[in-house]
Amino acid sequence: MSSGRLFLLAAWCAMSVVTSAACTGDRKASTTDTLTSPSLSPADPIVTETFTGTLRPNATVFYAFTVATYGTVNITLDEVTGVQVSEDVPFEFEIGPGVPRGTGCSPNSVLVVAPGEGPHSSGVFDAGIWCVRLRELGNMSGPARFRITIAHP
Amino acid sequence: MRRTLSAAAVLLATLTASCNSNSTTPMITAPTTSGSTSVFSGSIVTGGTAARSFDAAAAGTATATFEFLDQSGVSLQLALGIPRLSGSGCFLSRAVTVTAGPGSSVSTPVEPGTFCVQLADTTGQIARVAAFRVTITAP
Amino acid sequence: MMRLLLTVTVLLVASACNNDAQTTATSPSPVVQATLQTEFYADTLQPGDLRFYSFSVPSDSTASAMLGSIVRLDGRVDASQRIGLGFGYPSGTTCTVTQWVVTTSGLTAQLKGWLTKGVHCVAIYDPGGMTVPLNFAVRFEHFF
Repeated sequence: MSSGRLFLLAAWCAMSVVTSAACTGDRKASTTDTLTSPSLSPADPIVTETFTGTLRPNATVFYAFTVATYGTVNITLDEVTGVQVSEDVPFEFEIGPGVPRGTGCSPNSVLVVAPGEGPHSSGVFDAGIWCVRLRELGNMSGPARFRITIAHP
Repeated sequence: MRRTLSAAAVLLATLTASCNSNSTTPMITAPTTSGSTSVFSGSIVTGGTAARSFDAAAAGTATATFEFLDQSGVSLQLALGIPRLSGSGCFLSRAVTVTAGPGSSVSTPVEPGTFCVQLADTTGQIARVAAFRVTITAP
Repeated sequence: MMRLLLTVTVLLVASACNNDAQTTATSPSPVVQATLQTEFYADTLQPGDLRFYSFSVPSDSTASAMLGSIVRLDGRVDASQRIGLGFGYPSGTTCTVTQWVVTTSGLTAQLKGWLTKGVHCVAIYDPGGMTVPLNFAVRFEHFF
């Protein structure tokens, strides 16, 4: 093989490698970027929101809040006041964090809790819009005032 | 030398074709639509309603024409709207009160999608039951 | 001559490939299988009030809303009443509207918007001027 042909062969090989890399290199980088998920430790709550209002028998109310970054969310049903409940029924309410959906809040989980010191619900949430739903379980004889605090990042 | 040039041409064609494969845009031809006409016929009772859904394949104007009622001198509400999820009637958008006959129609612009037409005896003028016919034209 | 030919072909092929590579590099978002979903929201709007309906979208995408019906409580269609129609995000006990239009009812989408991945709401509100309660129906489309 002449030196000219040797040069041609070497040049084509080099070109193939270069063009092949150009065609696929970025795609590989993109795939790797999107699949890589950094491990994070949950941020602590730094914002406290208070949700107050009137709760009627068998009714539900909800409140939407924005979690700025992956972190811990604490929800407390502080108090329910201004209502009389007979002694043979528990003074308890259903509370649950969830996602706003339709005309309400679709809870991911629910707890039956008595108003007081909390948190009643504590969990780690992704950044995004979430909500808390409060439901009266049919124990109250009339409307009552309530207060919920939500602490989140 | 000629062989070398031929090989170069083949390799160039191959590489170019493989690299361009992702940038090839398929030709998509939009279907042409000329609209559709359908007939909605049935019977309506005193104080009752009759509704039916229809599809618009393209943006344009939908028209419902109240062509016939087998009772004379009766005015009914003819309306266009969107179907209720329950399947019972329409959410009304445009409505007219008309007697059956030429020119008794209601029209409104629509986008592609499902809509509905409703005929209602809102004032209770129908004596027991009456047969009707409404023609619907949709884009 | 041969070296010139080689140089030209290398540049041509590399150029063609680089165009493609740039296109790929500018699409860093993960591909999400999304389907278009149609939802309805019908309710009664009181003067001065805002009503809303929440929904989620899996990725940045377009959405549209059609205020299809405004009817008085006595059943009379009100085609001239202007109502606020908007997209926003749930906040507290309301929907904070970020894109909106004030419109009469009709059977074509009055509002088309761009929504980021996450939870959003479609809101119907009194822009001022409502004197009686009105029944409304909204049909809206978003990716799901």
